Formats: sequence, C-alpha cells, structure tokens
Amino acid sequence: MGIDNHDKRILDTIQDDFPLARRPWAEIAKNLNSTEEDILSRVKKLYNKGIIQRVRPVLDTRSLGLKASTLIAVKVPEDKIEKIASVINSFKEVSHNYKREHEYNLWFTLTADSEAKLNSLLEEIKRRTNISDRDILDLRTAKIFKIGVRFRIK
Amino acid sequence: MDETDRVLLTEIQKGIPLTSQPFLEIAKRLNIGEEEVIERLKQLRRRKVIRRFGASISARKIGIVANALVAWKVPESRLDEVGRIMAGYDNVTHCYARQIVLGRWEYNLFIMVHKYSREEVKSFAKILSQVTNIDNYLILFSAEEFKAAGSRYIM
Repeated sequence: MGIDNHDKRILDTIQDDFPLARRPWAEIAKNLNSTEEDILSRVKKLYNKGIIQRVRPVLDTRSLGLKASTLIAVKVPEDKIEKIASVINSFKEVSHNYKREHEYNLWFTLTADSEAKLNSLLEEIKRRTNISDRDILDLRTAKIFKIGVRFRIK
Repeated sequence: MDETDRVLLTEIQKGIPLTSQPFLEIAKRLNIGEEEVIERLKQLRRRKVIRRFGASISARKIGIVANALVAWKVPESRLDEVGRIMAGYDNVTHCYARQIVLGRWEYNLFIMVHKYSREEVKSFAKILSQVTNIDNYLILFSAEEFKAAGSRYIM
C-alpha cells in the first residue's frame, strides 16, 4: 500500500470539515503539526495512487429538492449483468450501483424530485433493460437515519 | 441559492485543484473573486446545502474491501429505536428504513457497512443483532462496484 501513519492521519482528517480558506492545506498542516509543502506533497502522492479521489462538497439532495429516493433490487442473468449495469449507470439519478451475492444480484439507488419522477425513471429503466416486474424490488425510502460515508483509517 | 451558487457547485463537484490556493483557481475559472468563492461555500455549508466538504477516499485502495448491505426485519414499533441505535455506530455509513414489498421482501431496515474483511462484517452484524435484539437479518455482500458514491448533480 505504501502509506505511513502520517498519511493515515491526513486521510482521517481531510474527509470532512475541509477548511474554506485561501490556503486550506496550510491550515490542515498547522493542525497536524506539519508544513503546507509536506501535506500537499503527500496528498498529491495519495491522489496519484488513487487513494484520494477528489476533494469536493457532498450536497444534501433533499435541500436541492431531490426528496424522493428508492433502492431497487433486480434479478438479472449473470451473462447480462455488465450490460444492464452500464445502462443503469447511464442515468444520472443513479448514485450507487452494486452487484451483490443474492438472487437479486444488482442493487442501485435512484434519487429524484418526486415519487412520480421515480416511477417514470423506473419505467424507463425497465424499458431499456427489459427487466420484468417480477424481477424487480422497489424499496422506497421511508426514513433516513444516517447518510454519509467516512472511513476510519486503521 | 442563486445562479452563481449553482455554477460554483457544479464546477466544484469535479474536485478542487490540489494546489496551495485552490479557491483562487476556481474563482478564476468562474470569473469571480477568491473571497466570494470562499464566502459562498461557507454560506452553503452553513445552510446545509453542502452536507460535507472533504476528500472522497477509495475504500478499496486502502484495503477496506468488504462492502455489505445488511437488511433487517424490524417490528414497525421498534423501527425508530433500532434505526437510531444502528446509525450511532461509526462503522455504519448509511441507515435507512424502507417500504417492504408484501409477500416478496420484508426486510425494512438497511445499513451499509464497509470493513477490511467479510469476517469483520459478519462479527459486526452479530454485535448489532445482539445489541438490538433483532435476529432476522440478511447480509448482502457486494461482488462488484459498478457505481459508487460521489454522484455529480447537474444544477
């Protein structure tokens, strides 16, 4: 993996509360007892290794009016799964799409501004993938207890 | 949120440049001032339009390769309580109550867990089961990630 404890501390620190300042890395460096140069060079290294993907804001979809969401599980033949996954991925309303070990083997999330819009998206997906109703589970969000990904780096 | 906020958010979701003054660069791209970019972002974060600002990490690249959706069958009356307990664990990254599909799917609480190994996921699920007294659960390990978090929102 090629990362040391200092790198891990950086990874732990930068996943949230990124300083909104003219020199954010200098501020992070101060908190980690280091220099801006050191932090930036490590961050670039971690980025080149593909460990850091990007530094960006995660938006609250509900505040953007995207109030409706669902988790869809579908049953697709093994030999068609790649093709179908890529059709599903082409919808910008799909944020997560995973193959899972279960009879329902493809699971993805859909987010939109209304339940009606979710319905029509689903119809469109069914049309383009030819998946029948009996091979689909539409698990509408009833309540969100937690939403957020932050990894504790060991 | 005005038009400039929209343009700013669209641009910045691509990721800030890894330079000493990243917001200056973004300001230049958008033809506005550096201070304005920073102030707008602060406002958006304060108003919780921005839920979180930070680096997205590839869990896989650092060895966190076991990803699982764990589905629980929780009595309606205990849903709130159990949901809150599970959400309280650091290792649970998402926790949602969902509508069931009568006769076909009756697990109504879903969590996402990311760990270094499947064994760790299984042990963790067992702990959650004991703590909440919910025995009926299903671990759905991911076999392949086709699309993951960090979706781009078109403003």
